[in-house]
Amino acid sequence: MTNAQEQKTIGTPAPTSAPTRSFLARLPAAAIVGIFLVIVIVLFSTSASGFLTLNNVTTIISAASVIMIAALGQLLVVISGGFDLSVGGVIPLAAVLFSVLTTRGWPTAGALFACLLVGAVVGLIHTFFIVYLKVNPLITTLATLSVTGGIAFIASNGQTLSVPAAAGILGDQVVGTLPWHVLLMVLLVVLMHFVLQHSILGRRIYMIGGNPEAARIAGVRVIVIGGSAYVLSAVFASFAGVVLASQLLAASGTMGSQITLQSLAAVVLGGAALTGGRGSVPGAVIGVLLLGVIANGMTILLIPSFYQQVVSGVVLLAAVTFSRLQERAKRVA
Amino acid sequence: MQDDTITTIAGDTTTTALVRLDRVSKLFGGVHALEDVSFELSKGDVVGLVGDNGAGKSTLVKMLSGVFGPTSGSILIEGEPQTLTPPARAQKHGIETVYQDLALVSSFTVAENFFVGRERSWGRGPRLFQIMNRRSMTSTAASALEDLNITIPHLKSRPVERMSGGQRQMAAIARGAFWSERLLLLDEPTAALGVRESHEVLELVRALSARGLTMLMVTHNLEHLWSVCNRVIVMRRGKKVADLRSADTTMDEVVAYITGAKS
Ligand SMILES: Nc1ncnc2c1ncn2[C@@H]1O[C@H](COP(=O)(O)OP(=O)(O)OP(=O)(O)O)[C@@H](O)[C@H]1O
Ligand SMILES: [Mg+2]
Repeated sequence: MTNAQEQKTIGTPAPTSAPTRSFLARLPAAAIVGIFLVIVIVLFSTSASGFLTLNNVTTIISAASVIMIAALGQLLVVISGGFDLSVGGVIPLAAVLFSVLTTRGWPTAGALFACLLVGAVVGLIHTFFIVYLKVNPLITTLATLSVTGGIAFIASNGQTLSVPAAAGILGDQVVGTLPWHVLLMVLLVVLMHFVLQHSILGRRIYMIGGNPEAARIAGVRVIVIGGSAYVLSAVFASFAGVVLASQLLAASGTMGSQITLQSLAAVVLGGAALTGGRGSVPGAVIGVLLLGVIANGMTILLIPSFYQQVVSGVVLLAAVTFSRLQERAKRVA
Repeated sequence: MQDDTITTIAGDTTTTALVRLDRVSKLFGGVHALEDVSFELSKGDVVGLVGDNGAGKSTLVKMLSGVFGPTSGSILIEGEPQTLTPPARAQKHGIETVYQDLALVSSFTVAENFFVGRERSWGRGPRLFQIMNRRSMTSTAASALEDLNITIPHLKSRPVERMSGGQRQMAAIARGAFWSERLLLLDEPTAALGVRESHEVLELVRALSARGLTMLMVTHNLEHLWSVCNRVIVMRRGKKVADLRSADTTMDEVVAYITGAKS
């Protein structure tokens, strides 16, 4: 139906239809997903009892926090013109490492730091292959996804390890039902938004994704900027892994593997383009919330989780299709 | 004949040239993209650079803009031999370039494109962590365009990908003019444009020339060249075959040099 309408506005240059067209073209992709999010929330609050309770809202945000942290890193990489599939391997690797270290009596902060360091190393490896040697990011991060996930599996011996309760501070509550990791997540969201919109680093991440040649000519050190995006992505993924382990007080070699797809989906739902140069933190937040709300609502409605996967995939396809149509409308306008 | 024209031009120059190329050559593998090219640019010159496809025009421009260095020969800025690579160094020497394939970031606004790689910022410490002074950049870009009588609607809010080719080219040239202190290089600025838009671009080049900006413009269109340039350099197979004042020559003669009918 949207399609038919659009063809009409494109085909007939009726002056009355012009405002509609430019309105559609001008609306940011994230805003459309935002409207969709509101619709989904309204739908669930009428059909799923207990959906709009403070308790459930906290549950949604808590669950979304891990994806959000990983999505922030993913966002940087996508804006810079690449993507990071290794997220779903780095998360379990960090979780398992965190469990092993804390079980051995490491202080929580020390174990966290070690995990972030491992993430940074993964990011540097990506920088070397993708940004410096210009190996395709799909191949490279698929390989490191396999390597990091594999190491996590070996290190945990294929079992679920436990995390000492004392090390689970990040999962503990601070104000009411608000856990520490949510607080940190919100802080990171605000910080990354600021970095992307107002710092020179942020501007240049957009630049190398939007037009790497222009960036190079303008004297931008593409390797440093692209490298920071990959390193931050892997560090954020490690942090997400530690948060996940702290929430569950457990770690395994397979936990969080679906977050690769979720983080990418959230970022794309939020208006980022895989061709680089586009995307925003508010958009990614809306994307993460949409996926989180759908998953939560369906759980309340007792719909099995594999249906949730199907629905999330369909939502992603719908969003991408819509943004393509919108792009075309813009060209014509 | 060829030598005559060179000496005539060189003989006129009493002061040190703004930019001088001294027997510059560029080899790509075995291909001589440029071979022993020498000429001078004096302040206020608007030089049209012509030649067939593959004659070496873009190579010459890229050499001056610091994209790559010469294989042999030297480039002198106000009498001093200088290295111009990388482009940021050429920019420090006051040389700006409007590239054939538009080095604009398409998702950025005109105002944002103005300061690509040269952001104004607050704070100390590592440059990457400094905070951009967006308001100052936007208002400077806006007033620079206003100053050149260029009106581009939504220059602060609309990404350049949603602007016409003419608007983008005007923005790219205005940016070049804003930053260039010595020389503005234009590689086929009217190539992708319609009649009206080409006219606007040439109008802008003329206005910049009236302000005394030195320019080197690559073009395939002799009408365009004649409407703005006071000098024409003809390239053929990597060599400079003519260097003439537009007033002293005709389009027919220039065509003859381009095709090799005259040399
Ligand atoms: N980066 C490069 N690597 C190898 N050869 C090159 C390179 N750039 C240019 N050349 C060669 O150098 C010669 C001159 O090319 P150049 O682009 O300077 O020509 P041009 O005069 O700008 O042509 P056009 O009018 O088509 O833009 C050509 O033979 C070209 O194939
Ligand atoms: Mg060329």
